[in-house]
Amino acid sequence: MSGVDLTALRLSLQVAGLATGLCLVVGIPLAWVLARRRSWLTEVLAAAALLPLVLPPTVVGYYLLTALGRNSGFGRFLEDDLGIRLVFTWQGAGIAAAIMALPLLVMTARPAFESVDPDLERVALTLGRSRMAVFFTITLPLASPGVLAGIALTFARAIGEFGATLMVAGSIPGRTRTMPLAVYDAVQSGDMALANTLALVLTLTSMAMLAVFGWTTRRIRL
Amino acid sequence: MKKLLLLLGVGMLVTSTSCGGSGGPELTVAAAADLQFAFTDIGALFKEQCGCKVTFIFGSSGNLSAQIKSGLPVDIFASADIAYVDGLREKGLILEDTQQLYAVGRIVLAVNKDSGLQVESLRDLLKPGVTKVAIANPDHAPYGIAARQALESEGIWDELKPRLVYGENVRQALQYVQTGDAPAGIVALSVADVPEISYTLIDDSLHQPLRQSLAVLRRTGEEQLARDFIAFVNGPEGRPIMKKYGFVLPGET
Amino acid sequence: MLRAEIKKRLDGFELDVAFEVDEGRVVLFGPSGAGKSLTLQAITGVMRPDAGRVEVNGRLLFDSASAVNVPPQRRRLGYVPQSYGLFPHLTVEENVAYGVQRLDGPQRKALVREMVDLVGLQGLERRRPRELSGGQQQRVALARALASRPELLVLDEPFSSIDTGLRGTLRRELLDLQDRSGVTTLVVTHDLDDAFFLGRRIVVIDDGRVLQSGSREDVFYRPATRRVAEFVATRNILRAKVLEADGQRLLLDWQGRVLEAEPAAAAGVAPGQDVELCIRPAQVMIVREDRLHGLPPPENPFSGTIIEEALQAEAYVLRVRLAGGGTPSDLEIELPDYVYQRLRLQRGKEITISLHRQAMHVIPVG
Repeated sequence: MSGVDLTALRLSLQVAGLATGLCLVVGIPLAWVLARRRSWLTEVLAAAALLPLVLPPTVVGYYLLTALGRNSGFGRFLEDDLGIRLVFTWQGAGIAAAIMALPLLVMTARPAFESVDPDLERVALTLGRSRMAVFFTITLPLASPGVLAGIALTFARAIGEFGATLMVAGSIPGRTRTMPLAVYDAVQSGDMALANTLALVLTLTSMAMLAVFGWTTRRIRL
Repeated sequence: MKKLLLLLGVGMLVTSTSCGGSGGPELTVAAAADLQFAFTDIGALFKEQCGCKVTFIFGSSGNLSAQIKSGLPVDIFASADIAYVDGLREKGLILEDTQQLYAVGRIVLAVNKDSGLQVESLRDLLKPGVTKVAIANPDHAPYGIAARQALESEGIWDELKPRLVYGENVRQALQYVQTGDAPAGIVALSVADVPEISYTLIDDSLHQPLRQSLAVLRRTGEEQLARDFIAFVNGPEGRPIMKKYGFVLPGET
Repeated sequence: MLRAEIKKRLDGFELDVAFEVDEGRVVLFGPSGAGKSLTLQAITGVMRPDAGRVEVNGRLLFDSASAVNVPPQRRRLGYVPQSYGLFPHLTVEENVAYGVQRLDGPQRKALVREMVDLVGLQGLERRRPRELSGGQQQRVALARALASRPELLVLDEPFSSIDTGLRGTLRRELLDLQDRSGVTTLVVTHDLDDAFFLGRRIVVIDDGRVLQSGSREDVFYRPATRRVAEFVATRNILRAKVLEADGQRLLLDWQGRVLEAEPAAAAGVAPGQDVELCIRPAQVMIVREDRLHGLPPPENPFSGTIIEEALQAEAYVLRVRLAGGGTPSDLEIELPDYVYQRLRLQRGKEITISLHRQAMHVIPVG
């Protein structure tokens, strides 16, 4: 594999890693709240979380670009006052991929949390442990097969993200040209050999990840 | 179980915060798709001379211009149509004294050799065997606009429209003809010299001149290096390469 | 000491209970849907009442007036839910140790061992809950709840999923455990036998309200309302009218028959008033004609015919139709199998029954 392949692969892993991390931080608590409480507010949140699933990635990318780029007050504030630029960076790509992948995590983690008997959480509370402790020692371990499956899906989705990434981050070689974008670019410039290699690497990486997670979920027996 | 989660978390943190990029000056050039071959060659030469890193982003001039307006972090913009550079100038995004013409583009009629078709004039595109005709997207690619203008001048645009396929930029249009997915097309002279196609020059009176201009962007962090590159392109090392790919300046042979 | 006033409105159901108990063993008794679990949830802190007050051993756990609401993790209660709530992914040891993480390693180990010994689960420390029997699981749940030295132990329907044969054993074990640990215990159940066996004090709840709160004898033999009488299986509830009710005598008219009851039962009734007369089937006596000699005359004697009989586990339940009076009046009688055999009873036989004055409990109507 040439330097080009490695860079694109590294970028893809970075972006997917960041996206998965963001999804975990937002999606796990959200999935737990949705699993335990039912109100008009939670239903609105649930719909919002699932929206990127049905929106075209380019539309999401467009919204992000508009909101975070120099054409918006918020974007200018970010860049000029806080020195943070998100458009045309891999971090921006990570945010875009996180938004696209979030529904997958919420959709798999929510039923996983629902399957945990609330009585167990109640008992754990009466035994004196804090809500956080109960979440990490009881709820999460018992929901882990579903949650891990959700993480696997999220990572796979994030690594394959194309449309939103292209809009928000562009296809800058070495900086934001992730594997899917690199494949597209290789085909565009007629370099089929490169396209083949990249596509193969991407496929193998994704399959390897799914295998790892399949193995971990099988290992967890209750 | 806990350990596994921890490992995943750390792994994710590491991959997401690791940054590439060693030291050394770096130039990023947004260039029209028709410059792919020419600029790649020039870039290689320039790298040796300056000891720096040059990255190219090729695309349709319209797309690139829009991205630059949204904040695409490039140092130089080389467009296939001066209008896009003018647009950036109006927004105050370029260093005005660096704007200069680097070529006048020409379009050619391209045919895939394996198709066995005889297409030497624009009217030949109407032949029954020509199932698809590839051009660059006339909405944002200068070579697409020129192709459309030529077809309109010839009076066959409406008739040909059902057979047209648009490439994102002239390079993708070329690719369609190379693979034979579209047996014929209108592409830039500068990219037409590939083994799979034979091509004929299209009379340039049929379309608006493709005045190709480049400029250094105001937001560059490498102003001197960018100026050097432009000087290189239009200087004694760069011009021969440009000419080789059919980029001629008015007055040049 | 447990004091609770709980008001909560939920999905068309209104809970409004209040009771105060000092005994070490309390039972919340009532049918399904009565609001027992809801009351439990309020006491453990999992549910927040709309209004009210919960106090355990002088500690205020909830008070809507002063906006006190101690979260469940600080209420120092032990809770054993109906399905025991054992953590399936932890071993017995880890389950028991779950609530005492604040102790350091050696202390924790010692405490776990003490608890395991207390409930008799030695040797099973490394097992997972799914490898244990129902009874063993319950013991783990108890050990776990007691490990954190709670001030109140709350059990929700502890035997609802236990086979009848095992129930007796487990009930005795629970009682024994409670004696040894000395922890005040609150048991929620809809089972009458469990309630009677486990509770010194019974709070009867139905439809979100407390119907009666008293000693187990009070609830059993002196139900406060007809509904309570039905719950405690007082199978003979008869409508009667008060004839006389002074300090010496209480005379009732039941379907034209005159009955004499204990004067003490005459609290709050006046002549002419309608009452529900409650007689437990096991307290209806059968007169042995051949043994009358030398004994005081039977109280409230009536003759009747056995019209139905059914053999239950070691006891016969008879339906006796009494002679005389206006409309046919039936009484249900329960007696041990061996008595039935010895008296050579059978369907169709005519017998004389006697209702002791003390066996009759009177509930004013209206």
